[in-house]
Amino acid sequence: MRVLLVEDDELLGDGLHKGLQQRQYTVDWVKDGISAEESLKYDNFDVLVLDLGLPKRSGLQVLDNIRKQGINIPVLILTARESLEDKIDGLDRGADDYLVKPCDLDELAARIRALHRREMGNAGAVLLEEGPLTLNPSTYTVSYYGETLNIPRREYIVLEKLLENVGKIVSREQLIQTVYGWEEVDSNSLEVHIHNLRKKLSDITIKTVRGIGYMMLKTKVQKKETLEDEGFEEKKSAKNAKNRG
Amino acid sequence: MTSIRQRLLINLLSCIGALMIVTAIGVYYFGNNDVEVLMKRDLVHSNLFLQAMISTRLTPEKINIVQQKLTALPSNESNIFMHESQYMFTDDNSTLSHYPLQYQVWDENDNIILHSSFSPIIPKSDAMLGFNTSTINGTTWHIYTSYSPDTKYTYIVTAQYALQNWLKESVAKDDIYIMLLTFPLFGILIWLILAHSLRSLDQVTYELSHRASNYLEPIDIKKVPEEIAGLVDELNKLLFRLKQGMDREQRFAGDAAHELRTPLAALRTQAQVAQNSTTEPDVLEALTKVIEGVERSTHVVQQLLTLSRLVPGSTMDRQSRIDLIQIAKDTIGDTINHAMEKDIELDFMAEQAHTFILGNSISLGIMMRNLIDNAIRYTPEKGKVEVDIIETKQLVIFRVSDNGPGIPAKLRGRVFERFFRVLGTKAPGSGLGLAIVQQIATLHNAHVRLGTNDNGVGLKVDVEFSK
Repeated sequence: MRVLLVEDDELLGDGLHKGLQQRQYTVDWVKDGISAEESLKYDNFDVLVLDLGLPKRSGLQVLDNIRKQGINIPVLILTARESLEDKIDGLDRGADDYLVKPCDLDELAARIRALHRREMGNAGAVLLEEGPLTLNPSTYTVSYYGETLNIPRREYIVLEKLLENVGKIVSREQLIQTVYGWEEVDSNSLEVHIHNLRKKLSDITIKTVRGIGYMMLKTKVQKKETLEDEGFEEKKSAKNAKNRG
Repeated sequence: MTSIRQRLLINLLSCIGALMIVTAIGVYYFGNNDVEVLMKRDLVHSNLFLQAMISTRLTPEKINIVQQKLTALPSNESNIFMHESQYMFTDDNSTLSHYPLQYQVWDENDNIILHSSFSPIIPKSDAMLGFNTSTINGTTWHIYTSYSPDTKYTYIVTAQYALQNWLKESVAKDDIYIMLLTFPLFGILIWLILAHSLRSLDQVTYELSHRASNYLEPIDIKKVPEEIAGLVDELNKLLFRLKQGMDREQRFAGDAAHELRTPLAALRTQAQVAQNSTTEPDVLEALTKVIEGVERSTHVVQQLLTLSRLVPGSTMDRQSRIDLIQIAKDTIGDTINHAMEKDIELDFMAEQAHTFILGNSISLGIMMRNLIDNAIRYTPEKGKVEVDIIETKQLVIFRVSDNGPGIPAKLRGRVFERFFRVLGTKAPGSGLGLAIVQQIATLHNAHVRLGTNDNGVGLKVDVEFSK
């Protein structure tokens, strides 16, 4: 998942940047309102973490502007302004969540996940599952046939992105952006990650769509199940409910 | 604790009491003359009556009858003038005879032909016409003697001298009785008047005592009497200062709570990063940043405290004659290390050896420290910071100039606001430095001017003290 962090404080920004990276997010960090708007206009992010007291253009102004431009990215306001009025104002102007500094990194990460889940249209699906493969975004773990796999950060992010879009093509650019953000990247490093994933997950099909990108296919078992058992969706949500509990 | 009411009551009653006692004493000692005049008039009057009643020669038989009737008069009711005061003749005052006035009539041979029962025997030498005083058997008498050529009788009316004293005592005693009777009445009256007059004080007390502890609005001065208006006015001034102080405290607390949120968030986040880091260099880096965060928070708190202490009337506002150049030298000594770390050339220039102004050396030191620190902080490495003290005819100017990025002209008014930081500044700071400088300048009636150096580069801060 790719997060845009807008925070002018060097020390806090650095901490949030690193902390979210440790939690398997791809984080791009800008330090003023104008850069934030520019980034959102020309790039794709999954969640925006927005400070309010920003140089050049205030956070609330950024929020107003992007909403006016129809950018519907989930926005989490992270600010020192703790008054009720500020919170209400922030949410009413189009923010999706409001967190007061100082906050816990794990809480911030969980809120970002929640916003992302809702954005993906499956607020209930805490686990990302495909056949024998399960990815748990809250513990940043991947299990395959019940065994936990040790998967490096970048591969994890690729896998998460593909799992979020099972049966759909994810473009190369999209994947690279999600994994690297604004980092410099070797032209074939994505292929290396895909190759490693295919090796580790032999029963999962990651198809290369030449000239476009990659697609994780629905597993045959699952396909069959879907065809044979109409109650599958119900079963899945019941399972998810159990997981949530 | 003294009560105005009690003191007024006691003092007023004492005054009234003293007045009455003095009056009684005065009546006793100074009323002598009045009583004597009164008595002499009585004597003359009675004498004339006596003359009028015995205005013809009486035969010895008639004299005999009159004398018998006179002797037979009951001792207590014989004198119609003094019947109201009879008790005094009957009681303890035994030196007085039963009758205040005594009468006698002498014939031409100075024989007593008629006399009242207790008439004294008066020697002829003391019976001259007109007023006489005579002591007979140890009792002193006033005597009035008249002579009628028609009857050739001598008429004598006498009154005991002691009667005069008795009258005086009687009046004085009456005064004291009146006093004793009216004294409690005065007490109650005074108490009521005082209670009424002091009601406004009670009202102010009530108003104050029923206030919430943080309600510090002034007391309405129109409602209180003139006598305590001054007190209430002073109280209002005190309340105002207290309110200012409390507002300051609250602002400090609010500012601190708000301004420490970001540094604390940074601390927490960096600490969590350290917890989650797997390699030693990562842990060390995060921990170094934690310490950096602690230093920054400490700096914010320090600056906030400084600012909240910079108020009129505080110790930071006590001014004396101080040498600006000496303070500048000391401050530069404290900051030279920072400058050297960044390889910044820090110069000090002053034309005089000493420049004395009226000021507070501690706060001026803080002001200089903030300006020089700022200059060093915002000036790039190998830059130049210059501190000057310039004396003109009217002014003493403390100047810090650097070749850093400067402050855009349109923002120069705002940088003095608390927590305002020029956007995009990377150098760490509390956002309070220039607010502190401004506050110290205000306490010294000095002006702070922001500008650029002559070549249009960097920042030049002038603090202008009037001489």
